[in-house]
Amino acid sequence: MKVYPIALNTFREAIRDRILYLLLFFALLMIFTSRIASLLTVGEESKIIIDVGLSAISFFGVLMAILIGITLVSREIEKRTIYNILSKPIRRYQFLLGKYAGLLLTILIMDFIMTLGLLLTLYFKSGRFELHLLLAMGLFFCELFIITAFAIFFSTFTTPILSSIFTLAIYAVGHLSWNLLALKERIASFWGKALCFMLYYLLPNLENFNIKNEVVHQLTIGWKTVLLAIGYGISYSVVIILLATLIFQRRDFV
Amino acid sequence: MIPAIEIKNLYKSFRSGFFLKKQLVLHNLSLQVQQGEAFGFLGPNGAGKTTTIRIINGLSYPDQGEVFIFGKENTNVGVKARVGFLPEEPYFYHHLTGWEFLDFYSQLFGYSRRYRHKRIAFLLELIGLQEYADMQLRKYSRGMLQRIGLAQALINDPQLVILDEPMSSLDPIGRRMVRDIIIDLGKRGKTVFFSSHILSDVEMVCDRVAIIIGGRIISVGKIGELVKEKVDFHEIVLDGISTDKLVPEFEVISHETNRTLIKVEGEEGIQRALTFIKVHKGKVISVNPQKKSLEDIFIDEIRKGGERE
Amino acid sequence: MRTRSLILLILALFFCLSLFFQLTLERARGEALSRPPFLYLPTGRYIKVLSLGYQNLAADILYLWSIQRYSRYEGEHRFRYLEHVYDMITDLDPHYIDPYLIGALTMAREGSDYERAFKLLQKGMRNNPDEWILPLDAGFYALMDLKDYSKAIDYFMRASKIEGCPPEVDRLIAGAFLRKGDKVASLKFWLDIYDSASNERIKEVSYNHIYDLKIAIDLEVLQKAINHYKEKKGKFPTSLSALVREGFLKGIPVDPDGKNYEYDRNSGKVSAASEYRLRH
Repeated sequence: MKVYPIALNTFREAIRDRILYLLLFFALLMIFTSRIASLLTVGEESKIIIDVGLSAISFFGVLMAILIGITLVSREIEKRTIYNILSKPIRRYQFLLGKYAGLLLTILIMDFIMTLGLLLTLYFKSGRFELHLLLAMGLFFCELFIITAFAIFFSTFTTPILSSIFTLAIYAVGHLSWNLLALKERIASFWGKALCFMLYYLLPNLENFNIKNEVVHQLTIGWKTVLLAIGYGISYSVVIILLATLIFQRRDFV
Repeated sequence: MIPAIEIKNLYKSFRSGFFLKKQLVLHNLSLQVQQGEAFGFLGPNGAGKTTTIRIINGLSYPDQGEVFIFGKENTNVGVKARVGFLPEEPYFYHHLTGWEFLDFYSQLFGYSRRYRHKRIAFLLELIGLQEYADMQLRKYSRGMLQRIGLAQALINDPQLVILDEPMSSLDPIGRRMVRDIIIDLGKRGKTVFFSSHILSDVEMVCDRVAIIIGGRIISVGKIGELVKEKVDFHEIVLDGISTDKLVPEFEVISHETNRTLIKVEGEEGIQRALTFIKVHKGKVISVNPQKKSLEDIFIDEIRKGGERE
Repeated sequence: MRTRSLILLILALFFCLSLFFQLTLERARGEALSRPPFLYLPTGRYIKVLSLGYQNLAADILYLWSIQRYSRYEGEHRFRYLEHVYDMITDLDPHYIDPYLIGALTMAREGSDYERAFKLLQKGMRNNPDEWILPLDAGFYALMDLKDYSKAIDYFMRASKIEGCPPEVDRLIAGAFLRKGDKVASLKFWLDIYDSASNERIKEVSYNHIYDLKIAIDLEVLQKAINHYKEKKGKFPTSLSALVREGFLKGIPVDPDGKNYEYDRNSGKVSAASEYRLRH
């Protein structure tokens, strides 16, 4: 298991990075202050807390995934620490997998802390733990599988700044891609339709993981939907990681 | 015996920008390093040393040609377990302590915890950094980093150690230490392949050297042979003859009020000079034989290369 | 090379797998578009902060989205969030006129919710007092759809006071007054139109209206005086001039062509000698 030490080192590097704590601080600040914001409303106070809280967690979660995901791979290349690692008996794909695993671990822990912050804030408000929120967080974590995979994918071949822009773009596109289906209906030309159709199924569909809405209004969510979304998240990220491996395998370090 | 490193007809070119012309960096480079020898890879900056070393380590891929390490392809993971590598100007994880740093690399070899501890303790002592084992690398000095980098290259007790400019950022004590380690490795039958652009580093340690200039191997051989191959010359210090008379006949290197330094080549050159001085009633102060150093060979070759182009 | 093709194979496999999940999910969740995704959108003011200064762009995107969404024929529930969506768009960019118009159109014609349509247009008028198209549009809905002529007149008057408003709005006002039954006001507007007409065609059209209205008003006035006479005296007057003589009328009008109105002393009815269109 050569992936393990790399994952561990990645994790260690990430949690010793100050930027992570800065983001965490702002996320928690936003969650806690949502309590104050909820005082301004009439009626459903905990809805506001949940709304702001879930949004803060997803926003900062994505930000963390992108910033840390990109810096941790690019930095190895830029600072040439990767020379040392790759000259050891380790395959390049093992290196990428280790990075990916380490990043996911870091992000999982950060998400956990933020979710805990939200649950506690709600607990002080209503006196009970709103555990159904965990489902939304779980699916959001699946979304981060894909975002992180993209962060790694892009940083195997471009600069950190471009990688972060691309990954952010993927995040935005992933949440809007269902519009392509609507567009397909309105475009008359066959090729236009075909293009929309292809793009729709090629691009990640991050709306699959978005059940914030159902969670806030306590609607029932089918287990089938959840399992399918998880399956989608895992298989799609495998695709991206494999693509990254293909590119990384041929990359010249000079 | 199978050579430790065998490089066959390596070509490598870079395109520095998307539209820029390709630049040939390595030109039909072939080289063999035998097991157990300390091999110096010499060349001025930009000659292609680092590129060659990166290709050997599988970090970069050649356009053409092959590299074998102990008879196996260089990308083979099994063979990598027998190699140690210290890159040029290595950068390290600033967030790790010295101990964690070495432990991380040793984990990549899949060693047991107990063995790792023993090995790391030994290496820290070897490079004299035991006291700094728990300090984060961000607080290390350049020299300390270079030393811990060397320890990292030795973590798996490799049979082949590849060092890219191992002495470049070290103080004299550090250089001495690295030199001793290389000599010690040689004594224990390990192969050491290291590059440098500073000749004095190499002269004292290496069995054989290869000189690379402009991506081509210019010469390979024992240092003694390489130096002897090139003709010695003598410097004669004399007095009493004006430079005007000397200049058409000899190469005048310097001139002071009562001292002139001329350079002559070969035995017959000395004789001619001595006769000339006698005829012109000059005084010979000293005749000094000058061995051509590697440095001179270098400069000669670069000059020649310049003329070729 | 062998590993490469192996990786490619696994890659293709997992891609198919992800496609499978995606397609099954779509089926499980029903039509991907039938979800009302804006149920959860915050208000425009919040988005304005979130859009980091790109609120115009955000408004554009939402607007484009809304057009795509509401121009499809689907179940009725899709109009449930109409007000929220357009409120948000117009909060984001209060000076973006199209969303007010399209929003009101969708609310009125598709959702049959005129109250909200007027509310949206009112918001537009508040934010853009210089845009005559907003009150004009509101007036149209009142005139054509609701037949609420007073409301239509209010909006049209508002539009006509704004610079740049096409003068045709006066004709709409005149028409609305007529339908409301206020012929005198209508006539007044047509006279104005006639006076300020810039071409022969308008002059002709307005003249025809004035012609008709004048006759209609005169006949009304005469008929009223006759009926009054009947009430007081118990019989119809012998002639129209009898009305003037006995103080029921100040004078006897003539129609625009200078002809006298005809009076039938047996039935007590007046009628015009000339052709006019407002006979009913």
